[in-house]
Amino acid sequence: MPSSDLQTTADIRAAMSDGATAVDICTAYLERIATQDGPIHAFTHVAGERALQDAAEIDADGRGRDPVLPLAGVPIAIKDNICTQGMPTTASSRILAGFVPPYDATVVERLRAAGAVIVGKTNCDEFAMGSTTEHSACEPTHNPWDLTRVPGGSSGGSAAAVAARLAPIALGSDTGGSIRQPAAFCGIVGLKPTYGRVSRYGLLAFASSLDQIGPFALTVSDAAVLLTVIAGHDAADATSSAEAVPAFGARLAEPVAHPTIGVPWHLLEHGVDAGVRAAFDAALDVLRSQGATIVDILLPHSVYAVPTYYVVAPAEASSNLSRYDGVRFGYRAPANGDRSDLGEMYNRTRSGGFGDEVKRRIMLGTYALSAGYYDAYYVKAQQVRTLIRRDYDAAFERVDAVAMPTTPTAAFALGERSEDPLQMYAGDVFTASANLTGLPALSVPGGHDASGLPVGLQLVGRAFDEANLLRLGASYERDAAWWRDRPPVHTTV
Amino acid sequence: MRSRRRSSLYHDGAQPLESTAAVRRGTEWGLRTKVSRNYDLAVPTRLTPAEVERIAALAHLELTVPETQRLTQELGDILAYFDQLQQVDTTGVPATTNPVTSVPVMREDHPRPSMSQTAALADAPDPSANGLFRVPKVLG
Repeated sequence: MPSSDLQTTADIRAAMSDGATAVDICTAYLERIATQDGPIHAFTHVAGERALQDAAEIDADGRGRDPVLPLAGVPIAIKDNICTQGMPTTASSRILAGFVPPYDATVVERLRAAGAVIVGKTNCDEFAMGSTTEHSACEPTHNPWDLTRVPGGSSGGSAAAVAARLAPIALGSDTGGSIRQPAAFCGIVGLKPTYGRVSRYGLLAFASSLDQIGPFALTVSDAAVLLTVIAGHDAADATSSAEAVPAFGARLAEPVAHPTIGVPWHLLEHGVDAGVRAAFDAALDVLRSQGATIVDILLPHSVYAVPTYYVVAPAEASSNLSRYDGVRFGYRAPANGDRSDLGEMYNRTRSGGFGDEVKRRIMLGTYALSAGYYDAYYVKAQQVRTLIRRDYDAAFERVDAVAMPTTPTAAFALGERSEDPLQMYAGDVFTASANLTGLPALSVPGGHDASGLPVGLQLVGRAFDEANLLRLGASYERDAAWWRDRPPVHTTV
Repeated sequence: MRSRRRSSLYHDGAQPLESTAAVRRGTEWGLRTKVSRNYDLAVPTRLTPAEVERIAALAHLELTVPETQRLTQELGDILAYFDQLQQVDTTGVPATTNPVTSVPVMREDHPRPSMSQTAALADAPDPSANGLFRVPKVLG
């Protein structure tokens, strides 16, 4: 198999059974990154030497041929807000410039044990706050389908890397849609697992009641394999669940018999682009043709998902980001002569280290938590959150999954929304409720809009029922294999 | 939609600034519960630059004058957007602090090896030779 045909983990493992080594595979991907990532800028750090060393170890100990280790020798890209021992981890923030974690996040530790080879760290919105990857202290990432457009965010680098075939799989984090929205914008699969399914130990915390780490892949099967490796209880994360972890990839070929799929049509009445709507209707036709029954459901409180999210997430962020103070790691503002004292150092470090969007959210969260406003904003939002979850619980009494477009529009132009926070926040309308409720949600490629840009089909499932969610996604993908469409190859001149 | 909301919120003079300031003073004197039952009162009409500076001090941020101006406008718009939450009847609804459904698993409290002092100090901006994080003077 010529190395340019390597796309999925199955392709890689097949090449390895035909005699390719993990070093060959790693070399092929590093070459693609070197020649094709320039115009995209998915990576903030390429771990060339370290990756080749890790691959050589896998070749030496024979793990690449072990059938119970499906990711052995498979390259993976990691979002830069997930700690990697000995490799820079900055969350694309100036305040973490030069930070090299002394430990691996639990997900990274599990990936290494499974033999996956980390080829690099990917760009994101600073501390995962944004929907475009433009709020990065590094250069923004460009959408491989159209370099003038955003890849989505905050995990835009991971999504762009997988879409451009610079890595077969990647990890992202999803607090309000940060895996699913870029997956949709880049035409790939992205999954936000159930809250508690995957350990967050070593994930730079943004909003602790919402954050989940999850997989990016070209196919549902690859996402399932990656989830199986990273999922499961971790003593280092008290919020991780002891729920048993099935082999998510094992039963994907068995379709869910006559599923009932609910569509909250009332949420789609306004603001959904005509091309996105047409692709969504066509996707529902595919599901119907496979025996699914589509029913209209009401999620009355989900119309408040975006304002609820933008109270809860910044409030938690303002608390989580108080740890960045220039004392133990990262950036410290230079001393201001004799006038320097500790408080002044904190203030100048944080003011110089954080970018505009992060400051905006810290300010918003501090305000929502401050005396006098705590009840009116934070408690109120937490109560609405309960009502959003109750709507979903009621819906799941009669449906097996909820379907929505992942986003109201396809990828927009770079710069188009960066000056208008409210317009940017409004794009989270279909994704934020899965984080507020903790439910698992999968975005699969769901066709193209009128201008040929990818759009996503989102399926939301019951808590800890990723198995059925992935089976539904796999079943759709069998008759609508949009992932086979590839973005143009952009080479560095 | 944004401009419509703004005009209805700010330009019709529905809530005079004085009443909001009075509410705010009241809440600082521990009357939060009383205020929180009446959300119309608890939501301010408009952020002021002084208030933005007060919040920045709480968040350990030092804002430039243009930043304060911009954030006064932007945060004001976003807070106005949050007002729609006040339309939701949440009487008797418990707050969801997080979606964890299972009981947290407690681990045994046994001593374990931890990170070495050298590793812990490796990323420090100003480590001291005797293994401490050095910071500027605390008292002036």
